[in-house]
Amino acid sequence: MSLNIDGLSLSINGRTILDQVDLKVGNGQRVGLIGSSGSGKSMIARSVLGTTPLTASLSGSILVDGLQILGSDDRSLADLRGSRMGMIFQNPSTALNPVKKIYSQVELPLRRHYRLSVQERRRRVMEILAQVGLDADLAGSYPHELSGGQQQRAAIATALVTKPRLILADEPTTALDAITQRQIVDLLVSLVDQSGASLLFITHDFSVLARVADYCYILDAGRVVESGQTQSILRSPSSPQGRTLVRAARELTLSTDGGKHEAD
Amino acid sequence: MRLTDGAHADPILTGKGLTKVYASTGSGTARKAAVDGIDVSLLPGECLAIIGESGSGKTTLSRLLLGQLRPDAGQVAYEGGPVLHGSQAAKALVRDSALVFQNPFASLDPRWTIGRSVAEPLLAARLKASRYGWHRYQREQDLADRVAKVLSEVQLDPGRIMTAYPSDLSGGQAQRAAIARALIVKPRILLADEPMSAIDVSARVGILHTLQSIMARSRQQSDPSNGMSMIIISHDLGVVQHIADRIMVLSRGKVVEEGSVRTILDYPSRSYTRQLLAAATL
Repeated sequence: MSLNIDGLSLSINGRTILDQVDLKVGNGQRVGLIGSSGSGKSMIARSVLGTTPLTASLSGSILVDGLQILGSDDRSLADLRGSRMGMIFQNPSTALNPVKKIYSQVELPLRRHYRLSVQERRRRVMEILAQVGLDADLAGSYPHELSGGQQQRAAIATALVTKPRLILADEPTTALDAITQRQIVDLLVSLVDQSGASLLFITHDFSVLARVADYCYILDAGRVVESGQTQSILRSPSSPQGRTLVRAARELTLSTDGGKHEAD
Repeated sequence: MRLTDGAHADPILTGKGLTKVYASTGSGTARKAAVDGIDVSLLPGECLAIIGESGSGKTTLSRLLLGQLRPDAGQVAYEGGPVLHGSQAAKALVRDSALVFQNPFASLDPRWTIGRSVAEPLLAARLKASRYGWHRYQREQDLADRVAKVLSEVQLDPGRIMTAYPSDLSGGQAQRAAIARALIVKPRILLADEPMSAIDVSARVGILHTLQSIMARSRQQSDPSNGMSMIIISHDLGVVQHIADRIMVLSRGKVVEEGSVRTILDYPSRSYTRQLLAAATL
């Protein structure tokens, strides 16, 4: 599924949040969107999902597989969300319903969008739970009984259970510790590749982005200031914002390759 | 200059056999020790990093060390005196330690100006001074001067920031203000619990440089035994590599590895440490 954003501008109460943003995610492509806090990254994802604030005024064009999102009615957008488009958010503990067991949360998109038998729904839920690496007995748990990493796996299962063709992941690893972050990123990449879906991955951290996306866009104050192959931007960023982000990633990561000695 | 060994100084803070068990929340699960028999010592002027994944016991250990939690076994000593409920060492530890938390916006009162938030610990110390007879009385002008000085130390412009509210600040600026609030009481031990986790990557570098310059200033003191020590808690080795003298790696409440930064980074002996290293590599 392709995503084609063309000249997207968004303002809230006269304040410009996004300014003429052009962004493309090709079929089956993994694309990154990177910028510091407040640059407008999440607002791009919300524009695609049709969940911008009511006071926001938008112009431009957002095509999802040729279908115009801007100006579409709420009902058709709701039909797209959770079926053909999947969302993964930063904080799994607020993305999951605290009073529902994991099984029924993961099952919900199937109930909402498809008419399937109980057995078929059960088969699909247990299949996706296994794919995200959650034990079958955790299906009967509540979110607060799970660790942060397990909660994010459950949120990923909820997003992917309907086999969406476009996945929007908004800082899905920022709330997790370094080891769990790495595991979740690798899991997401392998699941996306298996399913052949397209991915728009939003982050503020190049060290995460480098593992996910081949191509990326750098956003600053609502404008795309640079775009290109992730590895070539990492080598020689051309915009000041790109240079700041790359320098920060280099300073806050290790230059070693995980230790010189391999004893345990 | 970095401290690499403690041959010349007595530790300012020590913990021996520290253990803390929390009541189990799930039914039928065994009670597990969040911190399990840990020995730790902190030298004057030293920066100790406590590293581990979520739930490894980092925060519990730090709270035990600062006397904010009572250990189920083991003992903490501050400047040689046992930190027990109501003891002189416990009172001195409260007076001489300060904290910086993960989320600066939760540390600063949203209705107060930054100047007022930063001054508050000093005012609280003054209140206590009248009760305990400590000589820490400050005049109003002294107070404003000290707030301005400590804001400059964390690279904030006092003229602009003192009258600003937390909502006017970026995450990085707010965390600097929270650091200033901790530094104003001239602590001997600064505990920073994930000070960079809630801030975006480009601002993290700025906070790191601020903490580095604070430690450098503290080490330049004429009497090294008076230098401020820092405990930095993080899940990210990449963040602490530039600031820590010594790293303690925690997993499931136990110390799995401990040593100087270079030893841990270049010669990790445990697979868990290697996972942490791999997670912090670009």
